[in-house]
Amino acid sequence: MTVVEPQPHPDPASDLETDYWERLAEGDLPVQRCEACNEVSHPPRPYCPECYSSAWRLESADGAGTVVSYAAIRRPADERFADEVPITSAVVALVEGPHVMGIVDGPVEDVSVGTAVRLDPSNLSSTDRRLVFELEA
Amino acid sequence: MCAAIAGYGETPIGELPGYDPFELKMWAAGEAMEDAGIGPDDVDGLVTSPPMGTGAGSGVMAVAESLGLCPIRWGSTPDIGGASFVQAVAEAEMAIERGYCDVVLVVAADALRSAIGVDRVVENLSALASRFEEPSNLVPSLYAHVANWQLDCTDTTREDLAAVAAIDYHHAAMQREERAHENEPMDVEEILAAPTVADPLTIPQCSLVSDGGAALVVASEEVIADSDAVPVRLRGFGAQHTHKYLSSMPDPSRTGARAAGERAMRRAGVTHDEVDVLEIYDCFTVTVVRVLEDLGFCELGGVGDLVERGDLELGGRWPMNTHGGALAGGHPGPVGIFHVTEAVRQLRGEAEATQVEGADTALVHGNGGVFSTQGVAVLERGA
Repeated sequence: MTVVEPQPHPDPASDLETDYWERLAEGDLPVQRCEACNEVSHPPRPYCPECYSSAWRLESADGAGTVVSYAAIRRPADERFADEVPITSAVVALVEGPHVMGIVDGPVEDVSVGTAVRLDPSNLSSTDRRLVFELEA
Repeated sequence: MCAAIAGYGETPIGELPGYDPFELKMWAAGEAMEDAGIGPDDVDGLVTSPPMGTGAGSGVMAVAESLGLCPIRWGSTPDIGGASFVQAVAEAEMAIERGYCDVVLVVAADALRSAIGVDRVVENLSALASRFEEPSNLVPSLYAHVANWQLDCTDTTREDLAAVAAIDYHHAAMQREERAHENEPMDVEEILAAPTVADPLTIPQCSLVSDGGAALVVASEEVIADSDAVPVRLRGFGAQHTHKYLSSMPDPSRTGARAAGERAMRRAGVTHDEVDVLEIYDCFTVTVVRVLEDLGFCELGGVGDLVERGDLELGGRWPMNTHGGALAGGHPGPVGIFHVTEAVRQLRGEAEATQVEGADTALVHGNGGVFSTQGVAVLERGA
């Protein structure tokens, strides 16, 4: 019996998603702001997911946010992360509104719900799309 | 009158080497049909789930053919994880009530342990993270996110989380050996001291990986009238599915179980006091805690009160997961079938050592994804 492999990051079939990854590779985290209803969404979609308007634009997230939830990963999904364990994973509410899931550069003991963090774009490249957050002083 | 559950069947649960998932489904189906007093020719509807780890080629028609059930007039493969088989009961009832078919077999069985193996099952479930999210999470650490929220933001303690598992283990230990994957009780201290999977979740706080399965026969009133078995009726159903990926979970303090439970109980016309048995999906202990709160069986952070009073134990106000749940009874995949069949057993007076005396109303819950899907059914013992 074959086990379906966990989906690797696919080569995006869409221009929209290709654009997203290219901007992220430059260190810019895009969020989608709708000009019709003002909703800010992530990830971006061809229409505003709230009102389906086409009148939206990508804007660069400020990078600041607060921790919504978090966990220490000791057994990662893939061997390629083995050297990083323990990893502090966190869902972060960006100041613009959407939640994203990344990691916090620091031990889990330093993180609790409500901790202020800021995206550190220095790792982002065309081969590294992981969102790494630093603790805000 | 309306369609009702006319029969159920279960395979043993635990380690069943040498069987593939289709064979286990056939085994469970045979038990359920015998219980309902029917044969494969009587079945004209099928709701099932594909074996885990197989692709789109293993859905309802692969099962229908393998189990000798073709032709069928209704076939579907719910894809909402552990809420699937709560929904399946409602779907089967609807299809029969509309006259599309008369007898629906609902079957879920898999060979997770023997055919796939614990490690591969866990890795396979990493598909619960989106490509926009941190890629190193596995399912236990995704649920640990919410557990840490629970510990930080409510009065729930680590001991409360562990107590949920202890209740499951206690009930599983009361089962006949073949009917539960784990056969020995564990107490809160042992559960807390067990190795950590993703803090605060230790091994016994995470669902088992089991072989086995179960089936239900949902049938029209005419078929039920010919049978001596006590029918079990669906009195209310509600579902609320809020997201797929954890980073889209709208609010950790309010899962879809709140709306789903309100709707199901309102449709059934039952209050919390009138519920005799709870079957709450327990992929992880935190799932049970969040759901009991959202269903209104306790306040936010109040599971400790339920535990202290013994409310969730056999003999208590709301005996929960009397088969041992997914944590101790068995977990042949994220489907929730045993939570349904255990409720049926309770309402028919066939729950053996963990029978709740006089049980006539059960609340059955299923959760899928990462708190993503929530389904609630209120079942009642029929006349």
